Amino acid sequence: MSKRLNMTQKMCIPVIAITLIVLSLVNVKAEEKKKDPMLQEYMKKDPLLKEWLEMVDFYPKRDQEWEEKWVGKKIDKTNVDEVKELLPEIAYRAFKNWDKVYAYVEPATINWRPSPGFIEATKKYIGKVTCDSEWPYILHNYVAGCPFPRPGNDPIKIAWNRDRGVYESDDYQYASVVFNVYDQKGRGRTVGCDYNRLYWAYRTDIDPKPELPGNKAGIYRTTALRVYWPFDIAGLNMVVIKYKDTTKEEDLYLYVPTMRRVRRLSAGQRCDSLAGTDAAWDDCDVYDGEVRQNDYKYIGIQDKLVWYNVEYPYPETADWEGAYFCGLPLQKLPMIIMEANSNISNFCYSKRIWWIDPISSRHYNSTLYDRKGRLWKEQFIACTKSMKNPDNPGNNPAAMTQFIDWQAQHASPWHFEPPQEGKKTGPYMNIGWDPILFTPEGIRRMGR
Amino acid sequence: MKSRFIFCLVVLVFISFSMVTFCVCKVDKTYALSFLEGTLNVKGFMRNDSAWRIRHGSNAQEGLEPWDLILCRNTFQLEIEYKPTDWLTVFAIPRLVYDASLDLDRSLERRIASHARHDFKVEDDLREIYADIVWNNWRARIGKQQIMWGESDLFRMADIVNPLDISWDYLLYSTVSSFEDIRIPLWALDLNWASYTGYQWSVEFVWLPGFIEDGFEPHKVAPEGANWALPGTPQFMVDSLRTSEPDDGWENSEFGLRVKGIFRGWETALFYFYSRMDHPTPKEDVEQRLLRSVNFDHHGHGEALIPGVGLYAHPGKYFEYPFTNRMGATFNKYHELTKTIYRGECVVTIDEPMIDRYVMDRTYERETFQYMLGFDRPTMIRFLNPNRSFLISAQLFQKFIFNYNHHMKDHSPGGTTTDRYQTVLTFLINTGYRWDTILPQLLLAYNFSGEGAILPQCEFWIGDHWRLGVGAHIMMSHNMREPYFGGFRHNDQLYTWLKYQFH
Repeated sequence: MSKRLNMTQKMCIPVIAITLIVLSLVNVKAEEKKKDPMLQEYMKKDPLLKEWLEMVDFYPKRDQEWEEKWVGKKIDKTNVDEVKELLPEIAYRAFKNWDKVYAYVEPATINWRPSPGFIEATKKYIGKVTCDSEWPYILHNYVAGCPFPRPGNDPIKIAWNRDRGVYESDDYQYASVVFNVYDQKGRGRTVGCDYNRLYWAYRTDIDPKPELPGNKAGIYRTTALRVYWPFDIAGLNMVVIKYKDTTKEEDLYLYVPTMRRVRRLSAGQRCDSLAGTDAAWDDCDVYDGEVRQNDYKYIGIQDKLVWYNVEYPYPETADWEGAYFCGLPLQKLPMIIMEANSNISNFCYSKRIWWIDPISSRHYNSTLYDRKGRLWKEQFIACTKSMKNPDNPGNNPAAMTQFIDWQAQHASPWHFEPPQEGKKTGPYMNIGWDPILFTPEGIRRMGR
Repeated sequence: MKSRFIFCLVVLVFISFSMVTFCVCKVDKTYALSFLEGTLNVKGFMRNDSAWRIRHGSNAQEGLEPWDLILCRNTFQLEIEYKPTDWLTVFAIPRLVYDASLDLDRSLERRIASHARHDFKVEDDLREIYADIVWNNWRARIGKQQIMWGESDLFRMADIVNPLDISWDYLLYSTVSSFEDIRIPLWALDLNWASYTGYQWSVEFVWLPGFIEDGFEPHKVAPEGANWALPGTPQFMVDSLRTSEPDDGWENSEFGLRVKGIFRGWETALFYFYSRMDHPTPKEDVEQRLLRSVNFDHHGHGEALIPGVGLYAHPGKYFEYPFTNRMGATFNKYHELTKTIYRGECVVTIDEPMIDRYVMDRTYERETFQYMLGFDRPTMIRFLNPNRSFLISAQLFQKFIFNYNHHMKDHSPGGTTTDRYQTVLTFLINTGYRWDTILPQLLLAYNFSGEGAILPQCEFWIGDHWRLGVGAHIMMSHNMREPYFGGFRHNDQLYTWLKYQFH
């Protein structure tokens, strides 16, 4: 003990002390975040949510002062200017200019967490996944779960989280989805379809995990869009195959009932209208393209008003102005705001502004700009209040999507058909799809 | 007066039915008429196809004038699907067709032999009925059905299983409905095994028993005097195409096998089909039979076909439908750099029957090889359509006859008539305006032996229920002998379709 400390050891003491102080301050700040009563309530109710929030290190906080003023209030053209900054650009214009558009404000909630399998996979591979910061932004060592649970303000990592890290279950069916296509006069038509997805790799919940056996082609996921209405395109069945190799383009196959055969399609058709709606093929799941097809810019985390916790199926809206989700609940929640600039020459969109939920990495809004940089379209997602699958109560797939082409004054909301006897309607998760149904031969066999 | 009444009746029935179903759809807001707790679904449509000539007929079509209504085909079709369990689906398509053109214009009716009129005017058929049984990787489809192989559009090459009904309008139904409406469904067993692992292999075995219902079915052609009648084919010969069909029996069985896989993005299939030819071959002694028929025809049946030659109309079995072996391959591949789908197919036919240009009862059997190479590319042409790409598609077809001699004539529909080889190019461009409610299309076809066609059309979608279309066929040929459009080079026409679809 009598030995005197040397100079280096003397210097270490204040450094360690300062480090400890900083760490404790950070911890205090984190603890403060966790003290939000809303958060406490949810974390207490669901330990898995607590575990997930700790993993992503994000603790949303309710803006109590704002909520005291707004909760229960109706937002319409008379007062929308007061919340202009909280709304997407086209949504604001719709509230401002269309008489029938209105919404109610609800207190903020958290109604999402991934499955235990997804949380476990994320925990298992945390820190092992990397991505290139230069184009084509290749993802390395990804196996399953969320690749970057703490992406910080790195837009590439956020983009990969959105691409690979959104928990949607290992397969699902959106049964009886109806697109309404409205023009300015409320005249419209409908397209009815089933939207099915199967993950071949990076599976976390249903055996075989993490990948289907014999996946020689290296398929990541397959999505099938099967149209059942109107009559002349009923039976169209399009399969989109995405690969684990992030530099490889997807494959598209379309079963055409009048031809009675499967046609292979070019991925160059991504700008074309999806079944005659305002959405392009590229707008499936808000963005169905590849990470490498954009350059990204992180703008920040901001509180925004989003359609969250809505009921489904939502009654069919009757006319054009009513097409904008009238009467649905809006909640003020923190969103990552990000800009995605297309790096594909001659692509229909020059820029997209995305709102991404930091907890789920799910899109809540996408504002789209044309080649000349003019405001063009907007896609707004409304997520469901609860899941039908009791084994997976925390998931919240889209209950409906609003798509507005502001330049053409045209809209294509989609929602689920009302329940009918003997007909599936709504989202169904982890149902154990037969992979053959997602192959070119499979869609041919399903056809007439 | 009677013809006007029939026309008005057709229009009235069409409109009334449309209105009733429209109201039903509006009220219940559903997308199929459902029964038995949703296991039985019924959909359907009513459709009118009308066509007007825009040129005088050829010599063989004397009396056909511009603006003659040569097609007024009214179709009522249901599609019924019954799915009592996950592994069983029963599907049926009943169809009623009535072509009012003969009743609207008696001069057209008089051109067609009386016994052939009803078949030409009316079709009341359970067109398709089959059951799908799915069990793990297996799927069996049993019943009357259409089976489609191949990659080509507009011209058939690997699509060899079902014959065609070309008595209506080959061009119209190939461009508007991709042969679906004019393929003749056949009774068959289609057994399919598929795997999602590895190269996604699939194996398909097809058996057409040839003894159920009508047994073997060849192509169906128009009666003499009809707008789309085969030039130079008298009615008794057309009748003979049917009467020459072999008797129903196991010996008519046709078999096919197809194996498919996906190898590094190349979707490839090999197939083999053992079947009778769908077009006829004259029997070896056909000329003798025809000449003999003069002596046997005590009732003075018909008149001299070719004055001075001595061929007289007499019913008889003048044709046969020999078996052949056909094998081939198909492929398609997406190329990322050019954003283009490349596709192709080829067929080798062993002992394909040929006839002689000059001697009616001389036939040959030769190996033939045909292939198609094509591409499909979506292309943005912003000054024409800023919101949607144009699909540009082109195909090259070639057919070679091995061991050819200049007497030989391949008499299949679209067969080679001028040389040992045939080269055809097709070009298609289409797009969609106003959220794909206006769908224009232009199709060009050119045969290097000296014929071609320009086929523009446009379809309009009006709401969920109504479809309206308009188009034209403009055909060009140096002579009447060219295989595709030569015999029909005066058959330029304008056509329209109006469709009401329900549920």
